[in-house]
Amino acid sequence: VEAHSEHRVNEATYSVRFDANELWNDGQAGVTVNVDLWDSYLEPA
Amino acid sequence: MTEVHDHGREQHHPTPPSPIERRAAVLEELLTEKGLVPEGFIEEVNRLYENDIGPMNGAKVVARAWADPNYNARLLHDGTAAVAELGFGGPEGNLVAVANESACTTSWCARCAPAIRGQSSASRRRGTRTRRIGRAWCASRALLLKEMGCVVPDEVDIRVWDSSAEVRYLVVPERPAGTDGLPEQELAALVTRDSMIGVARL
Repeated sequence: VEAHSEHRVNEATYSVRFDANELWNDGQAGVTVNVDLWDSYLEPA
Repeated sequence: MTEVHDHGREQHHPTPPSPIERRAAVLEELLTEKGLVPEGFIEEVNRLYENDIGPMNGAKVVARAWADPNYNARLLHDGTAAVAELGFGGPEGNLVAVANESACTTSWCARCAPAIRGQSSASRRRGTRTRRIGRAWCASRALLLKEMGCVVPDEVDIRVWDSSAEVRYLVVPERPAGTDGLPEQELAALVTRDSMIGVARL
């Protein structure tokens, strides 16, 4: 993560899988969305 | 600077340039004006991507995976290492290959590795469009079918891989029927860029 500061910070990224209907009201069953997210974007469940 | 403004769009573009296209054009103009990039540098990079790096690299990877089950297993296990075996890599560092297996899954990648699947002015323009389609795809299969002309039967699960970090994705398309025994070179010729993004079946 270098774009926003002078310091280089190594951060893990995770591929997080959602069901489409968790994300959108009209999401269809059987559709999953994998999103790559930085560690700092995530909160403990 | 007309060539800068023509960059990435046809001359008779039916819609005005998107904000990202305008930003890219301005950045390119500034970099050139300030002499930060040598003249012709950006054109050369584009030429490399369109002619040399192009989707043929990905097609070779897919053809090898079809022809060699062991390579296929390595590719799905560690995409970065497997494409490096064929001499390919990219600045993103990590590549994940996802398989479109025997009509049970369709994977679609919002952003794939440019070194593997190539880049054209069309694909650079496509960023905003693919986002929109991704949303539409998740919401309505009917819309997907209409927009992409890609028929996905109801019983097929759809997986959308949205890459927003350092990882890029490559879809290994399902091998077309009737291609048994074809040499890798002929197999590679069957692979299209859209099939490696997951928006077309072969």
